[in-house]
Amino acid sequence: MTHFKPSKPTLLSAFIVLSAALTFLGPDSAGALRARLHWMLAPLGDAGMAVTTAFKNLTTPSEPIITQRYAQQLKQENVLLRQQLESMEARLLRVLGTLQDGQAEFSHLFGPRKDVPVEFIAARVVAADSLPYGWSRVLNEGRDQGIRNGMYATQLRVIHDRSKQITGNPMVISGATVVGRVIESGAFTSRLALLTDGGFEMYGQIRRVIDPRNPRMIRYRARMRRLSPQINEPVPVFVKGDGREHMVAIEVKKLHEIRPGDILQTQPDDGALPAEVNVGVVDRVEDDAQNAGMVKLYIKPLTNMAALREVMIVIPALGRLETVGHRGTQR
Amino acid sequence: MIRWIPFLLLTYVLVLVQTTVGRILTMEQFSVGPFGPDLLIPLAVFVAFYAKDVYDAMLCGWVIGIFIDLTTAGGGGAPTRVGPMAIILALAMWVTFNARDWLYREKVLPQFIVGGLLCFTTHFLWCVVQIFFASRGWGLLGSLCIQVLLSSLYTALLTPPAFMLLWLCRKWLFAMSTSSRSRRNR
Repeated sequence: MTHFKPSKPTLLSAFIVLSAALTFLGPDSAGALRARLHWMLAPLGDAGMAVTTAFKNLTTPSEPIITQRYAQQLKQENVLLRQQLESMEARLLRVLGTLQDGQAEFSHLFGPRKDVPVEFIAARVVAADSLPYGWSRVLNEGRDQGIRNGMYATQLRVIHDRSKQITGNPMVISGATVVGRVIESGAFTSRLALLTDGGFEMYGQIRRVIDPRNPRMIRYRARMRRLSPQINEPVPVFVKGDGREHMVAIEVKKLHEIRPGDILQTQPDDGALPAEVNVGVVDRVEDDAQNAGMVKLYIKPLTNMAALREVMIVIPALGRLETVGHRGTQR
Repeated sequence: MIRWIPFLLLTYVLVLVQTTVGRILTMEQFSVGPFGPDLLIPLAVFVAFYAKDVYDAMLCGWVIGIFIDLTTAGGGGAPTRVGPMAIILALAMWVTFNARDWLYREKVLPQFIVGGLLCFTTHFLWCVVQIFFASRGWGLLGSLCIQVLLSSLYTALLTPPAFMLLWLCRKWLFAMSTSSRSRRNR
């Protein structure tokens, strides 16, 4: 019996044909193949990513440092605002006192659930892309833990007064911020597309921040009115990662008067994350050259993407995730 | 002749370093977008310069390329496809292998130039192919070109020092030929 041993040209040809076939099979098969290789990276990658994220945290501070003087100024302003708020709340309570009793009973019987119907899975970044052009990360939890494509990943953001030393556990005074979406899920690992990746896209809403020192006029029911909490409806937008350090929202009407500092949030009717969770801050607003009356928003994520380490994967309890597409486009 | 097990082990270690602790070398907070060195390119250049056989060099290129394909998912405007880098790098190795006779392989300058050119060619073609298949993201190509150029310069700078390290383990990577013909040629 002759033992078949392929020559090098035959082997090479077979490999190239196989690669061409894989290229044409598409990203779904690529995702499945990649997930099978993750086990080679995940166990040994954890220590390496710990070093990398620690280094990136040192070199790129995620929060802007505020000066002592500015912190004092903010404190004084806070005291004044709190006093105003207390007096207004007292007035409001008197007016609405009787109504609230009835409403409370009604809400208790028929009102919507107050808590967000989701669960969280903690995961850790264990590897990044081989090439530097994309923003994706490999996580150490996968399908066996319940992670599926299209799920959001969030990170808890801690804000504290940097002029004081933190002792013990710092109190979290800001909620979760979205950092990306799962695009591939293997048995024990999954891959996350971060907000700034060129392939990331999502529907969101812009929450305009009301600043009494800098009021803005908006068109509301065919009339120009000063923006106030009563008429501050969120502006729905479609955002994409620009592959660099921003997300971009295009074709946003200029009359919405969106400004730098406004907040991008998830939409509460999104099946994958049915809540208003902060995603980023509008960094700059530019006129859209192609569309008159429209603007382009450049949104900076709230999280330092380069130093991302611990994330929480959001598992919706409503079971609506099957409708979420590969890149999260569900509408 | 290539010693395949040490070569595969070295490729795996380099991929592991590149996807984890090697990200320290990546510049991520730049307005043009992130860029960084490709640590596998110096290995590819080294193999192309010192492999005995063009098919060995191309097979090594294919292996390195498939490793890169399997550990990269972003950058092309959509989750990327597996296969293009394996084909591109295998073909690029053929060109590099055939061009090596016109170069002083031991000198720093040819290593720098070939490292940069190989990185630029393979990465640029990979980006174009991925964007073509994604059918979107052509707007990303301009900034990707700059990113690829900066990554190539970065890789070119690292290629000569990497060559010095790889030279130390050349006996581990390449088996000495023991055929009668090669003995006669010695």
